[in-house]
Amino acid sequence: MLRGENLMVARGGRRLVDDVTVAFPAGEFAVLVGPNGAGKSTLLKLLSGEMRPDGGRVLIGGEALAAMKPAALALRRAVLPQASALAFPFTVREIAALGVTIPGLALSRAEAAAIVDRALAAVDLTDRADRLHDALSGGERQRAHLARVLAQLWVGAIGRGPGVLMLDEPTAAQDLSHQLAVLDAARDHARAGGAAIVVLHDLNLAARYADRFVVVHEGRVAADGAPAAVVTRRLLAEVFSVALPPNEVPPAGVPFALPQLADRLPAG
Amino acid sequence: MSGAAALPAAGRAGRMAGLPAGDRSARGRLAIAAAVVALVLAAALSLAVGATGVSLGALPRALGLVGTDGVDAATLARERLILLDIRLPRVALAILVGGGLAVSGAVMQGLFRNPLADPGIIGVSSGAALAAVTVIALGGGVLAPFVAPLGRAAVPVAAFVGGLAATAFLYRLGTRTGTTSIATLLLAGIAVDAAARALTGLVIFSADDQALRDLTFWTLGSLGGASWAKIAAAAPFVLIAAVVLPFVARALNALLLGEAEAHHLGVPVETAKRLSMLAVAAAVSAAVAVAGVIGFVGIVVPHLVRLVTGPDHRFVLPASALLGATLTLVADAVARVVVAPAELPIGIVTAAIGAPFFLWLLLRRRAGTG
Repeated sequence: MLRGENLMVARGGRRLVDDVTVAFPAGEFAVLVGPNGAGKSTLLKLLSGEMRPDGGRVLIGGEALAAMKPAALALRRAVLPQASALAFPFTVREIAALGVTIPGLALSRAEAAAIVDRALAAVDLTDRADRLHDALSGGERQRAHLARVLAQLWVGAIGRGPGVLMLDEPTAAQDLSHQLAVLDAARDHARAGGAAIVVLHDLNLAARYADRFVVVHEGRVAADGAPAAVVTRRLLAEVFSVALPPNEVPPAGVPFALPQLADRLPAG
Repeated sequence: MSGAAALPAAGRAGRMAGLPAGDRSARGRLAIAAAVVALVLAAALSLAVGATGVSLGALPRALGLVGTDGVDAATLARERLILLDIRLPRVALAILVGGGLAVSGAVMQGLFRNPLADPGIIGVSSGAALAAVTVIALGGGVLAPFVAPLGRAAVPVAAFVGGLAATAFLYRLGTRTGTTSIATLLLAGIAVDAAARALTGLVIFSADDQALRDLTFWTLGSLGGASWAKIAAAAPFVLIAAVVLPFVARALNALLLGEAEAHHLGVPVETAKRLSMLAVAAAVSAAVAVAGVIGFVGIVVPHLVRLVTGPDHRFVLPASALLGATLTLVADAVARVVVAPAELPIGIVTAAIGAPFFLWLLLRRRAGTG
């Protein structure tokens, strides 16, 4: 569904992304992991069309991304950046509604409202719909923008089938329950036949959801495969510079709570 | 605008109209309707007020809509002159100028993602004024080969070029690597503004042309001397803005999220930015060419509108145009009345309202609520 071929970006003589070829098939939840500055966000920017590669190309549904108009591209993929600013305070509903106002798209008011409602419910903001952006917590803001991204994705899917969802550290500001809610939404998208590409730092959270880990290290893909095959003692040492034996339990008396075991409960 | 005070109101307005919570579109439409009514009232007020004692009641007669029996020919001629050739052009000019300035302020604030951006503060108006006075001063001399073929359009065209140059320069300075550096932008804008004002003063000071002696006109603005010819010269440029702006309203909404996000949402960012700057330069330069530099309309009006409608440009742009025209009509009426039979420069009236407002806006933002 989405494919990057021989992608390269150089800045100041340094290659931030160095000859990366990677494909993201439909129906798959892929997680990009890697240390800070490894090139994960840069790779995501290349794949989303935000940044032009200095070498290589990106194809979406077989079509070269560089040749697509912004509006056509917007119907095939939606992107949540690490942080979204907003110069003037929209309400939560208005933010989500930005996702359904793609140029040239004819959508009835009722259709648009239904999609926005669904997106707000998916990110647990239905009862915050009339809040202004300024009055939200950091986590709520991020979820309001996620609602916008989901709405855009669902609008694009009408008549075209599911597209590509790209999230850059979507759980950074979320509490445990909402971390799961956010990634549930991405997984639902993948199960419905779309592609989900998510940058995450929490390997446990990633392991719970990912069909596949793509490990980015020094601008290259250091490992790519099923989570169980990728998360090894050697990789953790070489890529993340930590001595950490995976799949072992801490000594008695040290608590741990793994999201792999978590189920969301109704709030309250 | 921010914080808890506005919250319940935003929800209530939506629910009143049977809309889902957080939908302020009903408020937006209501605000536009209210602004239309206010504009009509202000236009009537402006037509009724003046140094001579001709009242609004004479208007239907002057327009030939009702019979003129019992009114002697001299009175009729005088009423027609005052209402149709003096006050009506002035009303039309105030609407063009005020609407153009306010809508330009709204567009610039959206484009630069900052409520302090205003054509009068960051040098767009003074850039236009500098180009206009240069053409007037040198149009008969060095610049004659360029100016002569343009005829009456020379001054508005020059103002347009000057305003566009200032806008483009500021945008290039202020937005590097896709992010707008607001500090750079505002400081550079203030520098551009000061330089353009100084040069304008120099050109006027050294010019012989009697028409240019009026520095007050170019620095504080005036709607005096309104004529149908001036309106004809300014109208095409305001028309450019009026045609372009509906196409950029949605793009400006997306741009409030930043350029990368706007691109993700399918907005052709570069095109939208260029169209917006073109519209701003057109509207501001038209206003400056016919009415000089009138400050603060572009900053006060969009802010007031956003308090009611929220930041959706599909409502902010038309409502700002209407309210800007209304407030300019009122300010002009005040300028004509307070020292009658003389006139205050309208810029003094707008500054008296606008400067404290601007300070309040700055302090409020510093308090971290903007």
